[in-house]
Amino acid sequence: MKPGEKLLNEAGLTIHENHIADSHGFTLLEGITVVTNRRTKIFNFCFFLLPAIVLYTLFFIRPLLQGINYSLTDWNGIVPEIPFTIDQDQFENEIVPKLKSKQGRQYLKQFYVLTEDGSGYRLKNWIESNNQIRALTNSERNQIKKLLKSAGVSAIKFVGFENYRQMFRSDERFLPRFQKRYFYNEFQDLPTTISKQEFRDYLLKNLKNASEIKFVNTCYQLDSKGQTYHLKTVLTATEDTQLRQILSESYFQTTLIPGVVGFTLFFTVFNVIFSNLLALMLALALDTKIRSQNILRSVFFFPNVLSLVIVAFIWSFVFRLILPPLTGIAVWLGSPQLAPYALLMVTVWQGCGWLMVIYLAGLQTIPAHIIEVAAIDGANWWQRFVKITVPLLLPAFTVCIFFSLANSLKTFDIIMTLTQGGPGYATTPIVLDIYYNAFRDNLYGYATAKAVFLCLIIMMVTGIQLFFMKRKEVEL
Amino acid sequence: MFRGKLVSWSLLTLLIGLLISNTILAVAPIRLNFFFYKQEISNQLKEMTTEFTKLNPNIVIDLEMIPNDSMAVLRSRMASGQAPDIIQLQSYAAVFEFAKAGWLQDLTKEAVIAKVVNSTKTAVTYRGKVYALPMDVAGIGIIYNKDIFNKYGLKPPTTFKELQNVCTVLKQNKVIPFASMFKVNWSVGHFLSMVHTTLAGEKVLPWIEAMNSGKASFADPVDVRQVFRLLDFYKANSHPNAAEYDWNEQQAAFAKGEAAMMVQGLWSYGAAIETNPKLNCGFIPFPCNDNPKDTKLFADVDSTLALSATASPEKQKAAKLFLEWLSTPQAIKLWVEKCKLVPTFKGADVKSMDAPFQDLVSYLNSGKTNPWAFSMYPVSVWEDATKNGAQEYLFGTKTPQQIIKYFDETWRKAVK
Repeated sequence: MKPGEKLLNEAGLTIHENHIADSHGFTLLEGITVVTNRRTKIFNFCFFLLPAIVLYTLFFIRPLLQGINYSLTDWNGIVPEIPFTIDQDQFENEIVPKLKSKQGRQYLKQFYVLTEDGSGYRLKNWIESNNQIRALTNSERNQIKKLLKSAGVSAIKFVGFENYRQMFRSDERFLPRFQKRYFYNEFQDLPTTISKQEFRDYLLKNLKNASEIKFVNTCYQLDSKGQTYHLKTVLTATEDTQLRQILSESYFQTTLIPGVVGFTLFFTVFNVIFSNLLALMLALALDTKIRSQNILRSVFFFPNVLSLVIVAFIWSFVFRLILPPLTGIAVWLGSPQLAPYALLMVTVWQGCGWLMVIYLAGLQTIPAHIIEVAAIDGANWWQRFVKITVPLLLPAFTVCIFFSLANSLKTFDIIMTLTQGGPGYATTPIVLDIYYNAFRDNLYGYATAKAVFLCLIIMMVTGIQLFFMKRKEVEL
Repeated sequence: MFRGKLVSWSLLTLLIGLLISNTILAVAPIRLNFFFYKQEISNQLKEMTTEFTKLNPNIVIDLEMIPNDSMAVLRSRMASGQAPDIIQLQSYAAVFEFAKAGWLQDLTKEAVIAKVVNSTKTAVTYRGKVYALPMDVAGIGIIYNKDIFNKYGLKPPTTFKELQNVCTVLKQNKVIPFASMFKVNWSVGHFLSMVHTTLAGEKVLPWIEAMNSGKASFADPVDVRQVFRLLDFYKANSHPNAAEYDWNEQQAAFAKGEAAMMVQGLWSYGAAIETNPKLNCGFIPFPCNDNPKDTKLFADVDSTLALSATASPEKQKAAKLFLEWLSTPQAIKLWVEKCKLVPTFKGADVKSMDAPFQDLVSYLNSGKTNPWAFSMYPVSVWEDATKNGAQEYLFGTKTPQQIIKYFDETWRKAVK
């Protein structure tokens, strides 16, 4: 039985396959062929499909192409399209001679005038015509732009794939990479004690030279318990400087710095897992017939309704005043190690209500009699869940995972309000990095390249996810 | 009924006639768009512009405040060709950036520029031309609580050693020496740049030039060891949870007297005094070494006013009239008393300002100041390498060497 028919059956209606199209010719039920005539098809195309395509091209394809275009330039975001000032020498000796037509030359000279002090030519933004002062019109600007372009002057330089190259080669903040984390820097006092394990792993292993190892071993001696190394009490001046040098060069641990991409991946993976798990658990709990289920559903959905400013306010309050006495950890959002997890917590809290609603809807489409039959056959709760509920819930999984994947790859708001990507760069996802590059560092072209990269990644990841999950879905 | 109709018709014609004659006869005022970011003076600015309109009835100034990301908004505004007529800009880098792109009017020959204290003009001079009117001078240093200092018999320190003693005494008495905020990066960024500049002293301007030509390093003009020792010192004498503190918590801690000092710009004083009106404060430079002569205040021009070069000629004229009016005693009085900002005009009367401002003015008058080097750093060096760098050092994720390397690289990329 097809799902639509089942619905109607339950509603006490019987239907004949041929009469399922409504008066306008729309297909009411999936899987049942409906004869729509040509005219309605054309009507539908002109009034519904065509505007959608036009809007899609206008607001998605065009900006995307424009973005790709910008990502190949070095535009910094503030240089105007036509230069306001041009050096005298450049204007007279390079630009003007290159213009072939006399008309063009005159046209340009009409708008660029030599400044009083003779430092260069300046664009006249306001001109007098017919005894009225008016601003330059768009067509005049375009004409100037065209003329300057033909003389080889444009405000924005084309740099090819330089931005992309830079993104993967020389951007220290972007990709994950190994970094030495030093425990001692030459400005500090020498550490008086070092634990045995650290001494072995982070110092001795990094020393290549046998004499250095010997020297360090004479300076630091293992105590009677055999757990910690203690610094010799008396050091000569030369010993002191040598030890300082050795420690500042070789006392380190190699750690992986996630970088912007690493943080985004970390955030995405854990957010998808945790928010879906929690949402599913909530949905399963609320699908049973407990009394307060409606209230509880609203309660769990509520964080989604809250404005982000309020969310940030609530949570910064929680992190500062409530969690420290409960957990004994004083610093949450200000700690580079903990802040990513703290942010994850907030995002899961805020996002799972929405996913829960989708899972709930999915659960309610599973007919109770199938589960009852399984129960009569002797399947226990876990078997029923794995063999019946999960396969039938797959469409909901597809939607939820798609939704959380795409959303966590482009998280911005919560992080911007809670940590601004800090401390340092520890919690900066790609989108925030793009924002910083574009609006803070004046690197529009570069930031656009990153945005294009992100767009491709999102398309790819969600595409793969949809492809595999759609294949697994079963229909009832 | 007929009469009623007649009356209503005649009324209507009268109304329309009035409307038409009004629009034809009355001279439409010139409307100037004033873009600013200092949210703490938004009401005060409104008062000032109304005063100005009283004197010049045909000019109306529309205020527009963009407190966060003002630069981003301004850039997008200019990119779309709608530059505001009067623009409040941060000194140095911001002015230079827009001047370089050609958005700002050359004000070198304006009369009002001559009325400004000479030393403030470097902040607005790009390639020998003045592109903005310096409006207020601000300082970053230690704002200290005089009552707490008196209670423990402490004197405002003039050397690093004295500062260390002050901190030890305060700690012994269970007072936190510094109210600090490490959660947000700008304050520690100020600290790093301040320490670096103070230690570099006279060498800082040549150093910036050398950096711009790609021939120098962060480490060159200073004893790097001292720079990072000071950061360690600052962290060690702050609240243990300062990593979680934001501006509000910092102000609260200082205003309540939990902490005796805070390293901040004098703009914070307003917030602190609002929380606790009984606060008795002083303002001193942060001593970075043991030579009292090197202890100079980190003070410079903060905000400036620039005029759009793309505005219509009559608007440009009106905007210049406004700048001219700002230099009158009446405007300066409003600026000082209402906005509580230190003016840059020669001989301005600042006697009515609170004690910390008097301290600032006395440092300015005696010339014991260092310029705000961070305003001269390229934008990405200041925003990323300095601010985030300072935070990364404080949280132990990077060593001084790594921070210096990143600082130098970012600068090299920015000037390439």
